[in-house]
Amino acid sequence: MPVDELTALDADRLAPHLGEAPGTVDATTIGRSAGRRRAGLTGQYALLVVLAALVLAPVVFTLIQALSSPAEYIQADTPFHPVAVDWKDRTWFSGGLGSVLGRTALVFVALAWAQLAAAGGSFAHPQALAAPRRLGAVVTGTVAVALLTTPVFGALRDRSGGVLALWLLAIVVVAATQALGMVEPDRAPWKAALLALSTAVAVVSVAIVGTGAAVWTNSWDQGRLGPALWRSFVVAVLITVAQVVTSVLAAYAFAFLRFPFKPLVFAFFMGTLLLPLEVTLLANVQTIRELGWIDTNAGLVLPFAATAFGTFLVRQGFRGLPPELQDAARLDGYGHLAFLWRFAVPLTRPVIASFTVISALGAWNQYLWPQAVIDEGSGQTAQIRLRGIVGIEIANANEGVAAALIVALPVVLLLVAFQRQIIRGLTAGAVKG
Amino acid sequence: MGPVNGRETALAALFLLPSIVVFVVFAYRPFLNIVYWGTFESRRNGSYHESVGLAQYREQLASEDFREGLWHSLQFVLLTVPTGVVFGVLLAVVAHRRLKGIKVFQAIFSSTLASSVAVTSAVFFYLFNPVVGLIPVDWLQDPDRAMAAVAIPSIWQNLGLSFVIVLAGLQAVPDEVIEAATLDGYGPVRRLLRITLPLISPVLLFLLVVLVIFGMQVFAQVDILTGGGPIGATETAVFKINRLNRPDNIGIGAVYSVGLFGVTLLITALQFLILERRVHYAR
Amino acid sequence: MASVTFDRVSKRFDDVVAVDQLDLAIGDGEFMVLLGPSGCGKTTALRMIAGLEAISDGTLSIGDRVVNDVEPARRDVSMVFQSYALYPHMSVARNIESPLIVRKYHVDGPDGPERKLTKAERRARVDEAARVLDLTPYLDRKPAALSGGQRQRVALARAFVGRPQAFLMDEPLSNLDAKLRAQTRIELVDLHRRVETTVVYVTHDQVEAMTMATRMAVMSMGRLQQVGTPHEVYEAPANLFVAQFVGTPPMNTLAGTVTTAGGGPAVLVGESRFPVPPGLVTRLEEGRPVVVGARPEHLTLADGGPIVAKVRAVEWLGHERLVAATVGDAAIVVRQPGTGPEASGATVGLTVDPAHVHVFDPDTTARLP
Repeated sequence: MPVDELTALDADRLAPHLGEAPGTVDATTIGRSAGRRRAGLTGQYALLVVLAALVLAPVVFTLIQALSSPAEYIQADTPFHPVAVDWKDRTWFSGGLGSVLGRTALVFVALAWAQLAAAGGSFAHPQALAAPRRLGAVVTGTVAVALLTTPVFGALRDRSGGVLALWLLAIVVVAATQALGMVEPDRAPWKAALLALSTAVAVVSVAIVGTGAAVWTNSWDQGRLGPALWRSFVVAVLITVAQVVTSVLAAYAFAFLRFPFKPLVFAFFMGTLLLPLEVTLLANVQTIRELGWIDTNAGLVLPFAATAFGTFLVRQGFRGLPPELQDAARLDGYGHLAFLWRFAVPLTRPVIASFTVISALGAWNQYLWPQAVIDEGSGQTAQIRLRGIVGIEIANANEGVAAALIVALPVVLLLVAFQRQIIRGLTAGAVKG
Repeated sequence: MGPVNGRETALAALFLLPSIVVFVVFAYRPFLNIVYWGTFESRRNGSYHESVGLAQYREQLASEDFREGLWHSLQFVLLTVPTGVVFGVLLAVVAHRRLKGIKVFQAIFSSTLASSVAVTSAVFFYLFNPVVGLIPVDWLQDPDRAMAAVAIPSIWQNLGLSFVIVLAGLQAVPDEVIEAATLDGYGPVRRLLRITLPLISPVLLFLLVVLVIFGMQVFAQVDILTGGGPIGATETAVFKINRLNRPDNIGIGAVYSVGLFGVTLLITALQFLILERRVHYAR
Repeated sequence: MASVTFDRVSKRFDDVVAVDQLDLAIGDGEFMVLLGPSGCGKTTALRMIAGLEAISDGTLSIGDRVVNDVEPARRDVSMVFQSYALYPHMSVARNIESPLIVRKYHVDGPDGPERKLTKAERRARVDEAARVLDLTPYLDRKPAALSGGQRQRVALARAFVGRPQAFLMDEPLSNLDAKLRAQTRIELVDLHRRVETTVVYVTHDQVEAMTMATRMAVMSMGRLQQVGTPHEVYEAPANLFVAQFVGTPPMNTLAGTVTTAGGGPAVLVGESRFPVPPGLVTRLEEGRPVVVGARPEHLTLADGGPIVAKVRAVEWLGHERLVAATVGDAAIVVRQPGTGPEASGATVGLTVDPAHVHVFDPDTTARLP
């Protein structure tokens, strides 16, 4: 089955480096007088802000829509104004053990990520977190969030006036806890303060809005998102694993093994790029039907178990290894399997990582195929579930919007965590070298 | 690489087998099936198919319905691709500079990568809704505006991809060439048009081809936003094919599939032929 | 043609000072080489002349004009980049023509108005530049179809065609192979002689500096160490850095103490005794720690000489030998013509002409006059 990345209108195909090349020079301000340069700078920032606002506008409006129950403001006849957000819990500790643990864990992880990022690390390199002051910052921060958002929840539920003040108090205190972990000898204090403050604003606000508003749980329950998300997750993992394994093996064959008709076989692989799912849909559905794989994981995964794009990508990575490496390994007595496992794969880890993430993204975002192969009802993936949710009942529109945001969340997290890998994979085809 | 080796060939066969099986079963064989099925018309509501050879091809490819589907897909391409490339260039050019905090803006511009077609469509469904959304008029129900309304979410979603691709292209342009142009007296606009754009033309062509292929395959947006309506105004080729996935229509669906394949292939080939000559490749 | 004057010019990138209060007056028609190791600020200084880097402090003038805030294209300079920076999508002719298309020039004489060139005028200048640099047969090719040396000439032609007041060159020879480099050095000096334009040339290769410069400015860590003719810099280095940077193999420098005993001041390095230059103005007190320097070609093997060295290795180059030895703990190199009987491990005596000895202050690293 040709790569499903070709069907989804998502970003999965190509990935360049975002903001990494240090030489991103701007020739607009070089050589101008100081005054013109300053004006040029303000102009540029203004333009950037305007464009960023345009890009983010749908997201912002959507968030507002998710938080406002339509019934209330339909009557008030004002568009998308958050007339009344339905708040679920009175305190941080209400709503059941699962809920409390969930939100506490969420805050803990978010603060840990912030501390790591500020120290230049990441979840892949978490050594910085071992420092007691950073760990302390995360722990005290979590406690602060739990304690200080409780009155905020209460105030929101009661619609009392002190909401803003309490919210700001929570932000300031949490920022203080984070600042301790973000101070560095070579970092200007105002920078550390800014980092701590932005972390606090983000975490506190997300904690309050994300875990306090009722719409998320309502949407989850009404939309039966749990099983759908799980199904998407299972299918995505299976597809990703299958694609990575088949692509690495095939790429190895192309890069390191000698066999007859190699160009022909390569053309055979690349030819599948011309046969996307849209073209072969009807026959593939028929095949799945005949095999009895309708609505099974096999039916959802196997057509995508191999990909020419991935094979090409990994092959490029393998070809980048020095040719002497294989000779040296052979002299040391390593056979092909050993060479693959101990040398080829570890040394091309970045490329394989990029491909893995893109593969996962593509698999998660699939629409056409699951739609064709899953009957209405229980086995729907998250994307298909959205279609069922997006519907006629406008009175519960906010739940529909919230559902879309919930389904988008895993990908957002993936993008934040693996931005570099995604971008590298996406532009591998576009830019040479 | 050296002479062919029996043992390596066996190993290669083993490594390639899984992929080959998948490709045969789910790409090549289905395609051949599709082509073959196109020669069968269904009778008695799908319970029996009669071979009519190429007659069905001739009839269906010329049909109003197919052309309409193709035209809607094409409309979608025309609406999303030029804007996609232009905005991609705009965002990338603006964000490709050494400014403090530029990474934040770059992250924002690329953020639409995080949205899937289904999520984007759902989000814009509500934004377009006259009651709860931003616009008092219901474009999605307006036959004249529906296609444009379906295109807008995709334009937004493509921003991330276009931005990321064009930015990579810009990053590959050597700084010193831009500096040389500055010394030669080229202003920012001239630098962009005469130096930068020609030098990233391969990347732009790549983006163009990718967006066109995506565009021709549009389905989910239509499925979620309009369900093909109003009055079939947004039924794209793939949408129609998907709907023809029934025993009593499968022959017609097969013909449409082959037709879509052919048209996409043609358009892609044309793009390369016409534009490749104007694309500059540096060594 | 014009002079280029740096008046206490500094450049800062955030917290890093790339160029620190540079005072340098480059004369009209000079071939000034900015020499130094990577990161010394020479390229930054060059780019400031071009206007590609903004100036943090100080005043930069080209001719009589202060150009701190003048746009690069209006400074009437041209630049040859290290990577040549040719426009890959344009032909050689178009590349060379490029500076003439948008910019205005004093075509009708230095007192006339500035105006754009006509197509015919541009064509004429391009042909002239191509002729001077032997590029006429390649005018229609694209840079990718040229060799490295040819591309460099295109870069030169493009720099030359606008008849700028100053040529700026950023390590233009570094991408050429050794043979081509030697050849191009000569061609560049010849070109300079013919067009008589001020050249500011950046390199880390002191051979290029010595052979091409009318004057050279040695820089290190953003600061100017010394400016002077190659001869001055070689014979009278201002400090230890210059002494060791210019000259191959580098000057031998040894730490020692002054002694006034035994018939006149000298520097004792362990058992060895270095004479002090006769014209030395500075008063040297007994026991003062100094650094003494002598170039490899000024040390001579002499039985019973005052400098005692233990031979480590001898490298025979055909026309001369390089004897690597140690005086005490310090490693030195001696250049010796022809062949000799010295074997490794032997202890030899060396002597040196006092006029060729340099004495440096170990703290300030400056040469004592």
